[in-house]
Amino acid sequence: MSKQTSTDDLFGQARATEPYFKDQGFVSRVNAKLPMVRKVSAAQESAISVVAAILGCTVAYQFVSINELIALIPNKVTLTPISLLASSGLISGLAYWLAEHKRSY
Amino acid sequence: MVATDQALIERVAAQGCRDSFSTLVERHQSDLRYSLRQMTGWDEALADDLAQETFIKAFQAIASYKSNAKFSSWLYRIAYNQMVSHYRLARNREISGIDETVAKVAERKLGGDYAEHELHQDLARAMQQLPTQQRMVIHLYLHRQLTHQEICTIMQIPLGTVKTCINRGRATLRELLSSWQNEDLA
Repeated sequence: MSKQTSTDDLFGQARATEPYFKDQGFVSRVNAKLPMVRKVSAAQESAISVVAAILGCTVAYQFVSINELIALIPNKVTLTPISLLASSGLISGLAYWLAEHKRSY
Repeated sequence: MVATDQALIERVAAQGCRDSFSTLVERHQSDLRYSLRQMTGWDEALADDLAQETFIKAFQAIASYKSNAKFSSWLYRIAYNQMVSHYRLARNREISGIDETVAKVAERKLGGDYAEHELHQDLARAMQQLPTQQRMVIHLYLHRQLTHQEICTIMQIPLGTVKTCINRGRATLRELLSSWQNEDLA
């Protein structure tokens, strides 16, 4: 018998004799920690957001002149070293969080 | 009639049915807890905590489960990510869970009777000496008998890495488990 075979054999023996772990409260502990189920589905939530946004825009359009809104848009942006540092830090933090969040699934 | 994993998953995804999820947990808890004991040097408390977190993550992300993969494979993937995060945090806090050196594992004396539970624990402790990725690959390949391709999919690593991990892991374990093997060959 080769050494490599005997390493595999040990795993074979472990597989054949793998113990069965009884529940012993494990399932109820998991159940107790499960998050509450959302009563509104993700699709419904998106639909509500879209409808609310359309309503908000309609109301804003009625009460605020479009020219005033356009005038609020900045036409010049000055980047100072501090703001550049802050924005790059924010983007890096966001990218890290997204990567970590994606990885956990 | 016993509901299949797929039917239960659909119920959980559509209605958030907790009873269906409990059935899934009941079905898979033993295998997952055993695998995590193997991954954590047979640290029962840590393995159960990681298993618990794995099931909670699975519940939260059940909508993203794709039916072309086995539910157990998907669980292993979540469990692996949980484990990696745990060890990364532990390393950052400088609290390594490794308390048994290579020499100590190799030194272990065998009892006269071939104690089965001892074998599981010794395997787990020997595996603890491998890097996390190698440990998972070795467990999935040698214990769970998954194919190279299945391991690639679960761990999201290239085929070449899987093969390298298996070869290196085997070589290290050969040294660490020499006492068991010598006994086995005698």
